Amino acid sequence: MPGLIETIVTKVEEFELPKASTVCSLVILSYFLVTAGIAYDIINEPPAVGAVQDEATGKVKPVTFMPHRMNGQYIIEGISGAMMYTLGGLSLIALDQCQSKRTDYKLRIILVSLGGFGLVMAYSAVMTFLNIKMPGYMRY
Amino acid sequence: MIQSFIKRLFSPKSQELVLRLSILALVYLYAFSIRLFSVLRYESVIHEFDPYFNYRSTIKLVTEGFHEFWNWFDSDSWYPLGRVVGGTVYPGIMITAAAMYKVLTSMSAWVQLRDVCVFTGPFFAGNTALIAYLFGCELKDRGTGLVAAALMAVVPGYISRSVAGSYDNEAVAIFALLATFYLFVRSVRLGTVSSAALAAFAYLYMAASWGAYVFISNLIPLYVLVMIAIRRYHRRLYVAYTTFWAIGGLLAMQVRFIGSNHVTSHELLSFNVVWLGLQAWELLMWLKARTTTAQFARAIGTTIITAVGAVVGGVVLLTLTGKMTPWTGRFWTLLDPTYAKKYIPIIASVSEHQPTTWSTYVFDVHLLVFGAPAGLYFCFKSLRDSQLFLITFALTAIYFSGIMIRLMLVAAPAFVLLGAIAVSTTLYTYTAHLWEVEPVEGDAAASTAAAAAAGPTPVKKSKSKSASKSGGFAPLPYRRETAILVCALVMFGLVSYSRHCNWVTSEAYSSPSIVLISGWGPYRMVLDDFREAYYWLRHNTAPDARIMSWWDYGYQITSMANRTVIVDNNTWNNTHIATVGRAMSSNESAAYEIMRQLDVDYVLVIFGGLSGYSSDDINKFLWMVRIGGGVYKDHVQEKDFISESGEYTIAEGATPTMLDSLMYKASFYDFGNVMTEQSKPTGWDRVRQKEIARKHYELDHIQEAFTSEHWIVRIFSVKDLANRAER
Repeated sequence: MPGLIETIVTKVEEFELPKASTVCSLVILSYFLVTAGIAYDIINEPPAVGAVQDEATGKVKPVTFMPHRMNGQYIIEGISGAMMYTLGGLSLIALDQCQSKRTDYKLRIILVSLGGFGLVMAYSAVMTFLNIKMPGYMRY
Repeated sequence: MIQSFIKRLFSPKSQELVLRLSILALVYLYAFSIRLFSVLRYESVIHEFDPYFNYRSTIKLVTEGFHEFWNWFDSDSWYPLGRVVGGTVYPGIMITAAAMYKVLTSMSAWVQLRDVCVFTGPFFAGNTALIAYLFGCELKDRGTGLVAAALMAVVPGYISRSVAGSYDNEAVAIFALLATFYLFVRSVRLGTVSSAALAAFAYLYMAASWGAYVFISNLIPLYVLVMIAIRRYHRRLYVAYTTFWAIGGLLAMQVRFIGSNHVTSHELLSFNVVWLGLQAWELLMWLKARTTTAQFARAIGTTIITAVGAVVGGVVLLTLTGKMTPWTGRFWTLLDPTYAKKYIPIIASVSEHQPTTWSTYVFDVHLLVFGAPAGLYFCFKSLRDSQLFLITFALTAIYFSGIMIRLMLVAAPAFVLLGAIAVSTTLYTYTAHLWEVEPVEGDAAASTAAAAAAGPTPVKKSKSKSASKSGGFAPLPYRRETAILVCALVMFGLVSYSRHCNWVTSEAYSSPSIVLISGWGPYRMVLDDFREAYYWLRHNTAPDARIMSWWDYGYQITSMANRTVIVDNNTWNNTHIATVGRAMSSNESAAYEIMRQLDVDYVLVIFGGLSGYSSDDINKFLWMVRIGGGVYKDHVQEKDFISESGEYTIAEGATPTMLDSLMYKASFYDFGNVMTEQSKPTGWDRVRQKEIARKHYELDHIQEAFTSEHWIVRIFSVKDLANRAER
């Protein structure tokens, strides 16, 4: 029994902790899942995309954003919103990474341009989505 | 001497101090004034449902004194059970408002208690912004603190519960939450008993204010465990947590509602077990320094076996003998989101307890959704103890906010702090480039050449300087332009955030739900039906009359109409609520029996069909059926109310049980004769957008007593028994 305890103690002491960057990527992945509304999807089980029938032709058109309701979503809608959030976050991270002391010059150019572009893209995409979902946004 | 004084007055240090203080003063003003929309548009009135109970309790506290309040048994609600208010209330906000009122009146200010209550929210919002400044300073530096204060002042997730008029627990509880976290992080840095004791007093304020004190007392042990797991345990953490546990636990037990639950409840199990674990750990470390490896291994073996056995055995024994209270249903839902839907319909019915969608995040914290991953990255980059705490707090808060919309309120400070770190660090990195002198490489070459011509020592200095500048780290081209662009982007983002917060506060979060306002300018319509009906009750019914309504309106009726109610928003007795639900869903004779048993004098229903008010009782009716059916399975069944086409309707195709129910007959009495919209038949329900199925009927056991101007509140009196027996 003491030998077992000893081996457990030495194993715990020598256990290599994961790197901070690994944990950070896992954390940002979980942030993506949570902000996509995964709890809402599990409990309420909405369809992946909504459907509305076109009055003229009778065919069924897909609807991406559940309209007029802030407290309802479709699955794909949630995922696309969360993707834009994470894109914006990653752009800010890229903007910081390009100023750190790396040697690869080309990578830094890519980081700064993608960072700026991604930030602008994410902001406009999220504002567009919000305007689609809530037609009265920013209208007093 | 005057020269040196003037030099000190205009030195950069004093300039910085003046700039900081003016920014903080402006932040405070901004936080206070953005919350005043409903007061300016209508009047200083208390909103919603729960604040009316808090207001009534504050009146009791101020007029009758603390001991009457602390031992108050309220016989006006939950007839015939009554409610032990002193032991089931979180007194933080009432004591705060009463203290402010007493201070103001002792300084001979003529203020009404209602105004003090209405403005408690904005006042504490300003204080929360200042605490966010202190927390930001603790996390990184003063710049982060200022950004955190500015963001915290207007973040919509917090505004929703702290507008002027929202006199609810969360208004002071978020201040207490941030204060406890800031003081705890500070005590971990300082490692003194006094700083931890200060944090414990902030914890007392939180425990006295809101049921979510459980979040603090589970998050702080989790932080301790995380610190141990990544091998950052140090003596200061031990001192901070031990003192916090001892003093904080004792103080929290002074609140009657918590009492000894603080040591026996499962919700606080981790709080106590981690304390025990820390003491055991310190003992083991002390032993390890004094024994050989083999002896130590044996000691650990016996300790682990006894400790685990004792804790598990103790928990099992206390749970079996009933002394340990298990997790309450509300907190079970956080761990298993489908729990409430299956077992406790009351919790599932509250709209605040629904899970969040993606759009709630951008609506409630706007651009901070981008700042959160970036802030997490910056925290991981320079992992100090305070930033590790922020990571733990943010992850748990964001996870819980995904499960319940109401907890966006707790996640908003986490978003603010993460966003503040992201914004501040980005600005810090890029503003350094704004004033660069171009070109940089040319300068380095010139300095090496000049230094080579000079002596040996200057050569060494300038060589190392030039090596660090150009050796392997060539700066990007267009450095200054990039910096200007990034700073402009961040500035634009913050301006957009501020505009969004103004719009959200003005349109979404400033409605005094007691008064319905629609239209604007000359076409503004104010529907004051609620207060009209409650004051009719107050002036025209017997003082001991008992009102039966759905539990949403209980607090408002006891506060404004000053009458006894059967059930109210406290929802502590599920069976009593189920009885009322059964009465509302049964036909008139069965309902009359229940009403006679409960001594009901008046029935109050909320009806939106004429005005278009969509939160009326017919829309909530399905929940009454579900809750009633949950307890009285033989008498009320949900399938009796669902039509053949599978929908729950009051129009054509409605089931006979639905059309006979007390709720239908009370809501739509006489409605069949009313024309609500042109080109639609009479009895057109404007909320359901359908014509009602049953229009002309008589009421047997109740009679209409009062209907408000827009038919929103309808009050019926319960008739006495017939004079002679039926033959």
